[in-house]
Amino acid sequence: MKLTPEQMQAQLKLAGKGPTADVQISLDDIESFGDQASMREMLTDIGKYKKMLSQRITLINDALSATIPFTRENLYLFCAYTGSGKSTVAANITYPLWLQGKKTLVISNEESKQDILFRIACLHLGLSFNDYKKGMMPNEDMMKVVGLFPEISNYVKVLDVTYQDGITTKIEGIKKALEAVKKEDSYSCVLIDYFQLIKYSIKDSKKTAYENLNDLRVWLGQYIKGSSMPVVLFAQLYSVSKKGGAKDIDTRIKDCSAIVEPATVIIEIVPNYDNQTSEFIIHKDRFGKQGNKIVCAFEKGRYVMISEDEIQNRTKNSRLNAATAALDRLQGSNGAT
Amino acid sequence: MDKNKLIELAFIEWAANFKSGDKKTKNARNNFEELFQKWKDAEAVFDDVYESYLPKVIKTHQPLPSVARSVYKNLKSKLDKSEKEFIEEWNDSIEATATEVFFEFFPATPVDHDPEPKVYGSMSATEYKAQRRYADQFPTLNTDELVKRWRDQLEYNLDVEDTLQNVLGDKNETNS
Repeated sequence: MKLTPEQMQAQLKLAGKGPTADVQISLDDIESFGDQASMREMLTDIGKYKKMLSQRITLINDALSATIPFTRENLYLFCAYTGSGKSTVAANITYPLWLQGKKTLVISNEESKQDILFRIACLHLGLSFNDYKKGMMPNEDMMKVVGLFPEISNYVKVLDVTYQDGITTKIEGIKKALEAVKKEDSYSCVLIDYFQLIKYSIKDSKKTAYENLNDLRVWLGQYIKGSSMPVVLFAQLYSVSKKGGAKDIDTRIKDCSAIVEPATVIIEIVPNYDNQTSEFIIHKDRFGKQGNKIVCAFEKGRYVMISEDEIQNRTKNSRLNAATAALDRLQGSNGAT
Repeated sequence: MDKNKLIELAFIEWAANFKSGDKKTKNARNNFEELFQKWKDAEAVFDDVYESYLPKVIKTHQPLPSVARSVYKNLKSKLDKSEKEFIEEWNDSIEATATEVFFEFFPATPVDHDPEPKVYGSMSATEYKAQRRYADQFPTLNTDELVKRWRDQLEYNLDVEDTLQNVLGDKNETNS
């Protein structure tokens, strides 16, 4: 079968081999830099950037909000070793936004929708979520928690792993959900907990987990550019000890480390059980605080601001307690012999 | 299909795609991750792939001697090393990346398997100590001033977009 010239052009275009458009840059074009039109363009861009910053919303507490502008067109990657606080951070991000009447979408592949609401209600009431999980929460408290569910669910929308037979573990499901909230334009934030579990594809079941994760990170990079809200993505890390304490976060992100590329901010959560604080290590940051950490006190499930003096005091006390315990052990063993 | 066949096919497919793919050393980690994930999906374990495939994978990613020599010739004036040293370093870096990524996917002992009792959340005392040592490397940021500015900004949050746009006066004015 012979193709017409138009069909041939169309095929070549599809293959990326079509004729390239004429590119012309004249000296006049170059010299026009600095004229009123180009000045206006630059000032408009400065205005847009300033506006983006001014539309920042609360990120957990004032210390984090002040340091890392939490705003649209940005992808925030929160990483942690298993059991180090990903879901707690998700609740801490959602909680202040709910208080401010801002809508949030939580896509969870790990925690159930009721646990997500339970966590937020516990933060509000100063109750321990862990007590509930261990079956130690009194019925009276449970009733108070559940009583808040209707109010919370007005603003916190959850898609968990039970939604449409696990569609949130499939790349197409995540894309559809994110596109839906983008169109609606009334959401202030989207949280995805967590990256490595989005490893399936509906369209192509033969695609590997890596291919799906890689496709998702490329798509997210495009999505955030036109997004009117920040996207928070949680990711699992390999343990530090098995990685020889490497400072570089890339090597510790499980399964598809290339997610670091589209992320505009990367924060690692490290709990400090000695002094009841958590450290937020900033690994990547377009706002200039990379390589530092912010220490927050961990109180009743919430990450709250803490002064430097208080951190020093807590650290001193924890060292003193550890030394006392060691001395007691030593004295005990001497007494036994 | 038999697991060993799947492993072999994944390697053949990867090697074929690699010929036309991104061969830069910078992209080596991604390339290896792609293959090792396919093996993982085929339920391969350490012993299925370590001795029989890892050396082949490394060799596939290492530059052909003729290519390495040609690159050296092009960069010679900027380098302070012999051709032999340059090629050896190149090959070694590919091998190091492949081995590192391989052990992430197929640890000789499972990466997160920690036989010690969990004392700190889901961490053993050893893991916790390692995390503390690691986190202590990073300086703590004093956020007092930032918080003050953030709170002030909330109070006097002016929308500057219009102000900036008006700096140059009427939009319709021209340079002339």
